Amino acid sequence: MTDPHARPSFQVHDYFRETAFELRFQGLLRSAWQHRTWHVIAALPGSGKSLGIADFLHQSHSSKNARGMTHMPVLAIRAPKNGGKDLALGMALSPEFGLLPTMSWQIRRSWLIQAMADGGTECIIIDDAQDLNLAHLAFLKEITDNLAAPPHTRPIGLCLVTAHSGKIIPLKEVFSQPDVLWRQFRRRLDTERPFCVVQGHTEEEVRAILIAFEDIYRSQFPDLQLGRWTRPIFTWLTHATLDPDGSKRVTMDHLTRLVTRSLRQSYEQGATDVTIQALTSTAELMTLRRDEIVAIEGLPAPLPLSVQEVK
Amino acid sequence: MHEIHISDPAWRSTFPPIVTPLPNAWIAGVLLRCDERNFWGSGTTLKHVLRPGSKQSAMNELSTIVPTVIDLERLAQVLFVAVSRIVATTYLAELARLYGNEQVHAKLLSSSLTFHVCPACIAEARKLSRWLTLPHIMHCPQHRLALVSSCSCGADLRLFHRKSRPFTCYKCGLDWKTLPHLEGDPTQMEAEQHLLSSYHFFWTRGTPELLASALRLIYDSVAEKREIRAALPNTDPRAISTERSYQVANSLGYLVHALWQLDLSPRDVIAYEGPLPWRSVKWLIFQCSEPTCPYVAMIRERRSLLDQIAEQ
Repeated sequence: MTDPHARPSFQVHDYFRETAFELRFQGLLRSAWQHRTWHVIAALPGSGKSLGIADFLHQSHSSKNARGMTHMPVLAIRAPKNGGKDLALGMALSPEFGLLPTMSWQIRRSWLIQAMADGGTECIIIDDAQDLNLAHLAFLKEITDNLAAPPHTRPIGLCLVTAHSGKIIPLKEVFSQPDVLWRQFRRRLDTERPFCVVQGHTEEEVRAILIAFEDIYRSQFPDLQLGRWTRPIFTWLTHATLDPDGSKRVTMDHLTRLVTRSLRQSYEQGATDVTIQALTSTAELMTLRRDEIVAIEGLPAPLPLSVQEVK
Repeated sequence: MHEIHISDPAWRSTFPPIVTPLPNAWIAGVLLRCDERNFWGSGTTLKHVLRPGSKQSAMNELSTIVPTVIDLERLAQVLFVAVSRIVATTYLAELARLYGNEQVHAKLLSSSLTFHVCPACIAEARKLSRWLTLPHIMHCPQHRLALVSSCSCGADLRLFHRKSRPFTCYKCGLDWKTLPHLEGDPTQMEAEQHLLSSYHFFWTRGTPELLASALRLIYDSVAEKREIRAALPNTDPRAISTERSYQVANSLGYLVHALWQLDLSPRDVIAYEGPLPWRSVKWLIFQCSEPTCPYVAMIRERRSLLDQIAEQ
């Protein structure tokens, strides 16, 4: 134990980690990009889909140069909220290329196709695709059809990334409808893997992540041994409250919350390793006391005043 | 300029494809190249960088020469270039230095604008050069072609027109690169070469004092030849700099043309600058037996300047 008052405050490291889930998820995105295939990709909320997409985009080497060349092979957006028509999706897609002057929707619509062809777009990823409506999906089909046709002749990969729960995969029912548009959409989906569910972490994968956490927090916890708590952590995080579908898989969000809260608590007590008490109390908070209502009564601690020397 | 990666915040504050000004390009051409590269109609970029309350039509008039209607900082930001590179596509800095006033007006360069292009420059690099705005220049010094101001269909060329594609005739849609490539008149081109040298001289060395000296030289030369072809104004450029008549009569275009008419060169202007005693004598052969004569030192300094000009 060290004196908690003598230590700087606990620092959370929340940068992207290439976990087993991300390897599976990004592998699927990469495959869609390489083979220009269409997929509906589902994963549990909190799995790390959005972070994975952001990292994937970062790795896609999109760039603009002074010679007027813009290279944007992967175009990733979040689906427009609150419905709207094709305009809403167009307004979400177009600023991904950069700043645009004001222009009518009619002009922007055709500009978007040219910009995607010019930028060498090969794959479109739409996060939160469960929020897409029929008008959005029809517009997506229009864009990709126009790009696939001459003069562009550019087939595009499409990943509709959705959050799911239980056995229901969003959009699956929509694409099963008999309308011509949906049949056309369904036909474009990949033959082998049209609807995919990317699974969370197994116990072994949780162990690997905990060991990675040990390295990340080593400077604040010289004696940190999180790996030895893999079994209880896996059991807590697959509790029916956190894993209602009984998948026996752990999401990154749950795992990160459990670890960081436990580490913070242990740190504030002056520990140099995580304590079992901190882990247990956090797990209880996340499972048994998850819906507990907390009464906020007292006043928050006053903010420290910054004192500056006046010369 | 380095590349902009998608994780760079500049990605979202710059146009989709960015264009950088070509050497000696004119701002109007930069705007049109940006429109063309982005598949936008003519004048779309201009509209985006217009100062609040300014009219787009102003850029088809004199304002193209001194683009006060354009927010240059904003243009630099969306193109991801230094503001100085955008300023260099205008004559703003040069005119401000020459007239000793930051608030410059297009009339300090010319009293009117004839928009014309070199079809070969357009064909090669979609380039409108800055010198297209200079009065009395009717030929491309690089391609030795006559500048073209109207389309084959008869319509005058217009820089920006909301219903046309960039670098095309707003009436018939003809690309300016296919306008007639007409060989220039050698005599006229030689005269224009003198004018360009004078412009270059004033752009690179111009100060209010030099301007005043040039005006005095013109006045004295006219008086000497007893052929007063035009009324010459007050020689202190800062004294009445807001008056329109002053701007017209003192415009650089007027001045450069007058120098050419009087067969005077930048060397003559340099020689005439300053309170020296040889204004009306053969100063180049001035001699003095006094070893510390200040005028001899001044002459030496002046000769050195003239040599520098000759080398350029």
